[in-house]
Amino acid sequence: MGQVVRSICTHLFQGISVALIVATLGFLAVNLTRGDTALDIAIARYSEDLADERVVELVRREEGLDQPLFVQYCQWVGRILTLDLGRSLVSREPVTALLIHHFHYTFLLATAAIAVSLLIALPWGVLCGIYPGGTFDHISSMICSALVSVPQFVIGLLLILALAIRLHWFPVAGFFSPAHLVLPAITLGIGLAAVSSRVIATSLAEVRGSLFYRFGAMKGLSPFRVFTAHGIRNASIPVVTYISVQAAHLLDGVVVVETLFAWPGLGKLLLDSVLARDIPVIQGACLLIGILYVAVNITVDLICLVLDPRRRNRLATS
Amino acid sequence: METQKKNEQWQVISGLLILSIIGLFVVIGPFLTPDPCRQNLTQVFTQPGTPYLLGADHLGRSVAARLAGGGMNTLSFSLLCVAGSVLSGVGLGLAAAWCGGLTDTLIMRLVDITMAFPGIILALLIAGVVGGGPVAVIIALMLTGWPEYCRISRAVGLNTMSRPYVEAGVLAGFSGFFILRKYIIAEVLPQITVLAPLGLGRTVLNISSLGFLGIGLAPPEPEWGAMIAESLPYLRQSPHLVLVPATALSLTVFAFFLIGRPLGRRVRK
Repeated sequence: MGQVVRSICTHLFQGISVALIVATLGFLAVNLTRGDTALDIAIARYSEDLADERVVELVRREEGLDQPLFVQYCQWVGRILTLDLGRSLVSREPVTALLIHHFHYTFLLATAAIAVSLLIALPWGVLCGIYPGGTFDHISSMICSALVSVPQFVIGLLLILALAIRLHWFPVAGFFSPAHLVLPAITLGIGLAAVSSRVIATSLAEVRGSLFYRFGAMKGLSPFRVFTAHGIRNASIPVVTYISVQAAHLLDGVVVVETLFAWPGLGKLLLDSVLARDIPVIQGACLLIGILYVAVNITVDLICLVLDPRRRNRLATS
Repeated sequence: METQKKNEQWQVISGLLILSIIGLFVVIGPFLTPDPCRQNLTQVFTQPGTPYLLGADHLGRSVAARLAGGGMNTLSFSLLCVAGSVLSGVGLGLAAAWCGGLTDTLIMRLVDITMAFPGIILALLIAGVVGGGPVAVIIALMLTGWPEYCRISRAVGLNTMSRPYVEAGVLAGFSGFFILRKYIIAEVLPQITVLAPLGLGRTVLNISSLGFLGIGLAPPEPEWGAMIAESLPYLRQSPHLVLVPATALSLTVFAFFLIGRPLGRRVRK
């Protein structure tokens, strides 16, 4: 089996297990921690005075809560797999609607963060990769490891202190105008750029040192032509592969940065529902984030397949 | 090459130096400073100097004392997490390498599943289901940490098992347990130890991020990430309340990375 096919199968398996595990944890949480679910539903429907034992029993039968736990579990998982995620315990809104609403904001933030990180990392990485081992490369490498050691919420705080409180360039927090997007996007983008500029630098240095690249220069191609014809595409393969690591970094960071800047995205939704122990929303948000992460990984595999014909050939022959 | 080696040695030494200063402060600090949870409401927002070395926070608690106590909590939790994930990772990795077959497949699928969750998200999921608190955080970070150690110890274990001296040991009639202990674990442990500083750095980052989010230790107890979150509303008037723990935190992680990078590079070679 080809390497890529195997990798995609792994990711598909991951996706299914994520859904199953999140659903199982959600089911356990509901059944282990809360009291009588039927009583809760009966009270919610018919008010506390009318919810006597007979009514509770009727509700229990109606909702299938008298079934054995295993049957209930199968029904629960079935509902999750058909994307019926229930309603929030706090706001009573359907979880799917909540997720879509908040995902919109996270998507905006993530896109802006990736744009910022590319703006920083591409020129920086290419400059370092042209003279690997030089002074500039060394200094950037130190700066990058320093940047990686600073937690994202500290980077965000420093940006707030400098650009929002001292200089009043941008608003401190909120989500009312495009200006509110700037600070959170830079906070997330800096962390991403620090690592990806190193990846770009090393892969570029490696490609430039390879035999085919030097042969290209030797047969008379101009430095620019060698770079565009042989450099960019080969150097981009590790960079694209690295996106899957970055996605994890981004999804973790989104929770912290959205909380810091009061940005109403998925991360903030997840944290708020964890603090309120709103199980259906926790379940839905984790499910969505897990699936997103797996989807990014599959996309990365497919892009690599397009970029690198060697992998395609291996796929055909094996 | 010679200069690079010197450069790396210098990095490890400076990392160790920073860490030992922080470690000394964290260990000795609690004896020299007042109780980190004691409030003195007449001293609210005192600037650094007297009577408190690093000033006092919004409840009049000594920042220096909270910094030392918080460091103790953050660092000891991180050590616990990394120790837990190393133990379970190496155990499962060696089991996968030694048993092979179905056990191997099952353990490696388990690795795949765990890797499908970004660390903080998994911690939030667990905290949401079983409730917050330090135990949930430690369990969650152990769960996210072990796959890396599992993969490496399995790879090194498989590699070692194909060596002739292991075969010679089997022929000489040594028991499986003896071979595992004397030949294979002896080969795996150094590789894992060398990865620990990087893992510690990452765990300190994650624990403080979770502390910042309000998941972890209950409020009166100090923790670096939580200290920053508590002082956030007073960022405008007394930024040092945020900057002091932030500096300590970043320096610690930086020191772990300074030590971990060169060591990790040596493993890859």
